[in-house]
Amino acid sequence: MRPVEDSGGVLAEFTAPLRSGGYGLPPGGAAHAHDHGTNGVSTSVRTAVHNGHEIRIETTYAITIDGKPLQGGLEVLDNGAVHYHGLPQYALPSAIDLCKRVLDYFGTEPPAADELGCLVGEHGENCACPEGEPGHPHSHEGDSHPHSHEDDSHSHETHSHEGHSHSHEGHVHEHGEAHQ
Amino acid sequence: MTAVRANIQTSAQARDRYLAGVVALNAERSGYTTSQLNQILSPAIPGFRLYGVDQPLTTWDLFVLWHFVAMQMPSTPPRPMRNLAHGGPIFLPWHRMFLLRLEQQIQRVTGDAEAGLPYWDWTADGGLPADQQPASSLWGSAGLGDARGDVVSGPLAAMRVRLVGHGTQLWSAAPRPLQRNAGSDPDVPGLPVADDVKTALEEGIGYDTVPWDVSADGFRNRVEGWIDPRRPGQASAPQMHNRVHVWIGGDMGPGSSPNDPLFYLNHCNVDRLWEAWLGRNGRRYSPGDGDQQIPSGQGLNDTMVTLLGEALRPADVLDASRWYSYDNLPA
Repeated sequence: MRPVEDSGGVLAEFTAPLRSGGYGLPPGGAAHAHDHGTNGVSTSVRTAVHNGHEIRIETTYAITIDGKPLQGGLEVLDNGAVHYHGLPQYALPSAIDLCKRVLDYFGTEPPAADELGCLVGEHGENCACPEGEPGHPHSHEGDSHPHSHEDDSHSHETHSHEGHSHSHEGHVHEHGEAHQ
Repeated sequence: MTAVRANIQTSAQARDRYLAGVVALNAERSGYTTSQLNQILSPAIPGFRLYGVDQPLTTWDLFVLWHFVAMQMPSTPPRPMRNLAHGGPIFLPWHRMFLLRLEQQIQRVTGDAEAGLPYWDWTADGGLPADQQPASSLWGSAGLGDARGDVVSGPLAAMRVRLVGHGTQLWSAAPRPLQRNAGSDPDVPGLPVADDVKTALEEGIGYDTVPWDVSADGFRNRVEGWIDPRRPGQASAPQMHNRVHVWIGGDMGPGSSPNDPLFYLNHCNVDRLWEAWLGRNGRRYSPGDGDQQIPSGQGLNDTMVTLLGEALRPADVLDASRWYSYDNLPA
């Protein structure tokens, strides 16, 4: 992919990189969206060397909110703060406080029905196609339509199963909040 | 002639031209719909797509998309919050390129080839009592509009948000006004202050250092705001650039933060501080040849993630004088 020359003002030339799928992406198909955790489970590994000893701390969070997995995962910084990629400037000492921020920002419902997913055959909980559509997860018995907002009366209580961390060299064991 | 970037709180001309430009870009159809963009980007970026409704996007929205895409691009070895635009040495050059492209589009739609992005020297407002900061001269109907709630006053009341970060996904939703929540986070009661800038520009501080991430102590990380060098090793409240995002809240919180024109005012001030550092320390960048643990895509001659305009490398932007200058740099 050959980058365009600096086009200054012409809008059509300005968007040429977009039409090409972008420049400067990791090569050889290595470009991919970040792995933000699956089904609310995410694992961070921190390492350090102290007095010649290698410390390795693996922290796994399994987080649900109202019983549903948190979309995307948490990362633990070296200083013990917890980070969520969806709120990129935040790093808080408490995963519970971070989940509260996630709820304050995003609530529990997406901002729209997912028509775009339907267009590419990715029918999910929030898709826009009618019930009974082939491949629609809500076409089977017992499911309610995803946009019925039946859950609106639920409380926003946060259920957080905090990390379990095990270091193999440094004799550090973490349970609960991520610590330094 | 090149653009001169001025303080938005002291130059009514720069402010009004900027506001007119961003409103025009927010209304200008880009020629792309969200479904078309998925067809283009999904093959190039496996695992990425837009969610939500199919709708036409504006030129302004494409900048939101670009920022979000760059934020999704990993830089290896993986480190928390390190991607091809943030959390590593690429943070300052990538945003310099990003702002330059927005500035050029403002020049196009305003017909003023010398229009410069204004900067918001937030340390001036940070010196005010916390309860007065959301009521400074930046805000109100003559300026950036409402500091809290929907932006319904001033020129930016005309702007509409169409792409919103929802968790770690980017959603296309029914157009709505900008939203803010300035000064409402109890952990971040005030903006950065002059002493923060003094600390970031401490004499002898290098640009960046191993491990080139959010734990490294260098100018880049001090100004990005992941560390407070006055409290080494401690998990502290967000500083500098991060603090401004968090303090404003609302649309400045998620990865879709370029929705709010305040994004560019904040980053223009960050870029101004970088220009001050470059002027004092030489137009140098690190990591360089011979450095250890260099994260992928963050070297001096690596092409930066580009969806709009010519792709640049960090080496191309260390000297910005062919494009713009600042009316004032920190002493």
